[in-house]
Amino acid sequence: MQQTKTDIEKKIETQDFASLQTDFEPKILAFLCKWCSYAGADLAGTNRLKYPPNMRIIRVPCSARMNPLFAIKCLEKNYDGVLFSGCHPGDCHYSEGNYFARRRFIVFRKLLETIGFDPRRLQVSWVSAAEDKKWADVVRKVIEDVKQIGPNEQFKKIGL
Amino acid sequence: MRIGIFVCHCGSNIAGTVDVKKVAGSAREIQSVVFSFDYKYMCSEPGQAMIINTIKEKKLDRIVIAACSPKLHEQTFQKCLQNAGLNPYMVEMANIREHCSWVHPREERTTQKALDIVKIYTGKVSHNKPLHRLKVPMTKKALIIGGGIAGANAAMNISVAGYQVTLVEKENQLGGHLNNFKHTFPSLEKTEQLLENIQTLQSNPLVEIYTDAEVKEVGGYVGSFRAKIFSKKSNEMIEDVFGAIIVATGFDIAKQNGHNSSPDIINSLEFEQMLSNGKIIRPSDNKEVQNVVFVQCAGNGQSGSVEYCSKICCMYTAKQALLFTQKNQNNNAYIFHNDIVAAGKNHEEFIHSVRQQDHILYLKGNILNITANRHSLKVQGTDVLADVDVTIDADLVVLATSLVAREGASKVAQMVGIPYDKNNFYSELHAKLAPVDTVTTGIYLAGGCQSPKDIADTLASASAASSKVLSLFNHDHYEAEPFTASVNQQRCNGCFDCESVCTFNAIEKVTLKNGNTVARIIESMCQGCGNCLSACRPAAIDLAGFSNEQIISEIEYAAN
Repeated sequence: MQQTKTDIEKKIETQDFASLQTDFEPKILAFLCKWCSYAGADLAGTNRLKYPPNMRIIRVPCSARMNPLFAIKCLEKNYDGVLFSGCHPGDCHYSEGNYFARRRFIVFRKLLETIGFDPRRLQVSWVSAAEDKKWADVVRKVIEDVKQIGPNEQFKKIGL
Repeated sequence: MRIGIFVCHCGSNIAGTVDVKKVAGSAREIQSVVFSFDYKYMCSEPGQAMIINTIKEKKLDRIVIAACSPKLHEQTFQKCLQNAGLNPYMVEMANIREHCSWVHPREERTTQKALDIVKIYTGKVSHNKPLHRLKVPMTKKALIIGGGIAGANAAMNISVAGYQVTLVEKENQLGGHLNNFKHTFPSLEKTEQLLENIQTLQSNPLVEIYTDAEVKEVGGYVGSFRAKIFSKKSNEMIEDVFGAIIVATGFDIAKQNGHNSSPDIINSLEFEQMLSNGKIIRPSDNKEVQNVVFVQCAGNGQSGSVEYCSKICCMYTAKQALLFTQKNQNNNAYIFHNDIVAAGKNHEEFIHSVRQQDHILYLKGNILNITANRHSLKVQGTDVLADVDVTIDADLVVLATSLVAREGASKVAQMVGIPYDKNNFYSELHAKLAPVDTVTTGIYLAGGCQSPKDIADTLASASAASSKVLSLFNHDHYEAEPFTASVNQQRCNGCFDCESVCTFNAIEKVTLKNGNTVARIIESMCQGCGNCLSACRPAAIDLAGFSNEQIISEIEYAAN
């Protein structure tokens, strides 16, 4: 069941907590740059941090490789959320790649909204190779956000 | 296509939370998978032997290893493939340890996730193509731009290792700023030894020195950079090929301005020259100098201070004050400052000892005003710690202005093909991972052109740059990772959006036989970031190792 932000706020106001809960477990595909975010996720594993298992990771060289069109493909294949994660701006291994990526993501999220997707389905994070805790936090936040939106049935609805 | 899946237990690291037998069993159902097996330790000797034998027996043409992060054993398994007669790039690693078994509890969802990860990388490997490292021949001759201590030191290091060096210096002598002073901090050691060392380069048969010369053009790539050097002496253009380049063009000190009211307000370099010459007299009336006011953080004068710290001024001002007061017991030095930066080895101790001197006074506060009288300068300032205003009758005011990039530094950087920051200092590839590399493989930075440095740090960075060059020259070829982009020239529409986003200048224009001008990737310069792919609207560019087909497969194979 899709819940808009105002729905959720109303329910919190009226303390209607029961209906906020959902047993929907989103399936999320994450693109991680191999120098920073992927290494940060590795570190989270090495340090045995714990987070929910909703996310699957695809390794790419740089956030600049993350073509926003991949997000459309993910949504077409009924993933509920997509995460693009790269190096912090200023720290890109390839010097400027993440600056280009950042601009593309900002524009694309607006576009997603225009074509009827909740923009929260496309998430962006900057996680460095040393930020294991941040990675775990990002994963939890993305899963929680997408849970609140509900399952992605956009393509199923139109028969694809 | 015959894919083999190898699921590793990693002892109990993976098998403790993931049902590895189930993963191996289910992976057997994925399309084109003809073999799937689980084993305790894939990276062990017997594990590797099993992989090699299985590839040969089952005639596998590509494999997936479901185990730890590729950072650990990707190379190990690439060697296995080579030993089995396959191209080393026909393996993909599915990370089911760091990204799965180590971060989730022992439950069905964890096993399901591990299987999804295996599916994703099976999808990827189904589109892997054999790749071959590009071998670029290495010309074992280095070009060093700049003959100051950084460039000269690099020339020494590289020639000692037995390789040829061409050293190009704009002025008519080597040594750069070192020629301007006699004593160095913190030990007050003389510069003579350093300058003598530099002069030994003249008789070094491996080092070719061009003074009164400038590099006018740089092209090519690592292993074969082509450079044009113009010599003013012979009025000729010299062309040569180099395997690597070190940029050591140094820095300058900002001219003092905003205090143009008197010729007796000078900058630190000018005072240093007076100290070296032994003649310390007022420029206006040639009178002897007894009282000198030094001003730290004098910035750029007119436009105020710069954002960065010039690092060496607190130290050399202390040195100058010490040398000056040692010349005559009537000499006095007053140093106005806000902070004192003395972070180097033995630097704090030096400042401490200078502060103890009777005729040197450190005043924490700003200058309010300088008025030029007939025979002296009236300097008004504040002493924040004593909470009073002070007035000093000075013979000379010495401004420690900022160290700045040389005039024309940005043009030199553009010619060489390296980026620079908003202060025109040259950018290193990564502050920590690659502090002397630039974005262009084979071009390195040494000394003050990168950022303000003292002599010790300058020589250290020159040694670092030299060692990078030597590790290139140690091989006859430069082997580039094969994850480079390539253009389908039939699809390319000649918009060159790719060229405009390529940080590494790895894209050039070529004209085809049919007259179309299209893009071509210079393989040896391409770093494989994939930025051009995202910019290419006709999808004419693809990236080996992370191709569009591979990524789409990765998305599809584990989808619902």
